[in-house]
Amino acid sequence: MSEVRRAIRRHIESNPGVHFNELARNLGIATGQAQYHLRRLRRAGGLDTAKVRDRTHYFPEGYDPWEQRTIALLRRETVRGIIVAALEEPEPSAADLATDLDVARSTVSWHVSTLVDAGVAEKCYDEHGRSHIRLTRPDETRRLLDEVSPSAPDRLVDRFTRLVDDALLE
Amino acid sequence: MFPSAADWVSGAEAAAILVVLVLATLGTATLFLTGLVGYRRRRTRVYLLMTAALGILVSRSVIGFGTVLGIVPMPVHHLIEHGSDFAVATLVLYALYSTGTPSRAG
Repeated sequence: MSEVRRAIRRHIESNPGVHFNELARNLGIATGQAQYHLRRLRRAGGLDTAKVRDRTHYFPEGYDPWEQRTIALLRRETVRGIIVAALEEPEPSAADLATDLDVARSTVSWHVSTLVDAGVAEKCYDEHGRSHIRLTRPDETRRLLDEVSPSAPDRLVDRFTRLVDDALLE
Repeated sequence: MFPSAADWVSGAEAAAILVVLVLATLGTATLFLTGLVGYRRRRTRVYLLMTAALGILVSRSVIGFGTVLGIVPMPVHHLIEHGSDFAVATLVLYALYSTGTPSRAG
């Protein structure tokens, strides 16, 4: 197996659910090269993919489809914010989410519908007819959140590579 | 405390140097490990040069400990420390110079 392919596999194993652009950027690989190696890795087995809202996320084996979708969504900033808010305080209203996350109501609706489609959350309504969101499997969602949160050393390396890339390679 | 260091520092100074050395070792070792993981990810010459420069910074702390503990004599200490300054400068300058053609493992 080529060195690049090994690096890609290692990166996916330590960052389950990483999406294509992020993978190519983190490893400093050109798009075409990343596509080629990912195709080879998928054909060789041991690599799962999940397509969520037009983005392909890569996983090592061992995650079921629900877990894959949840992890993929946890890797997106706004959706992650909605999930974290719903873990901290169950059943937040869409209006509160928009205020807390400082995004438009329509943005919240869009992400909530993604969460509902993925089976990660469901909508419910209070007595005033306001919509709230409820996580379908909060305990498992919390476990997956812990699993995909980058550790402090990971974040340090990410920032170091960004620094070197920006200062020396751009 | 450090009999061999007694001829050039007092006890209080030796303790201060030791604290600084421990902090320097922790800081440079963390940086070096970060560089090493970065190099493992990228495998480019620039990352190799940067990581080597960070590794030299760690070795400076090791030499410092050697001197405090009386293993590395002062003239050798100065020679190595200033020599490593030159090496770090060369590595970083070469990294800057070679960025025109970053080599990537294919």
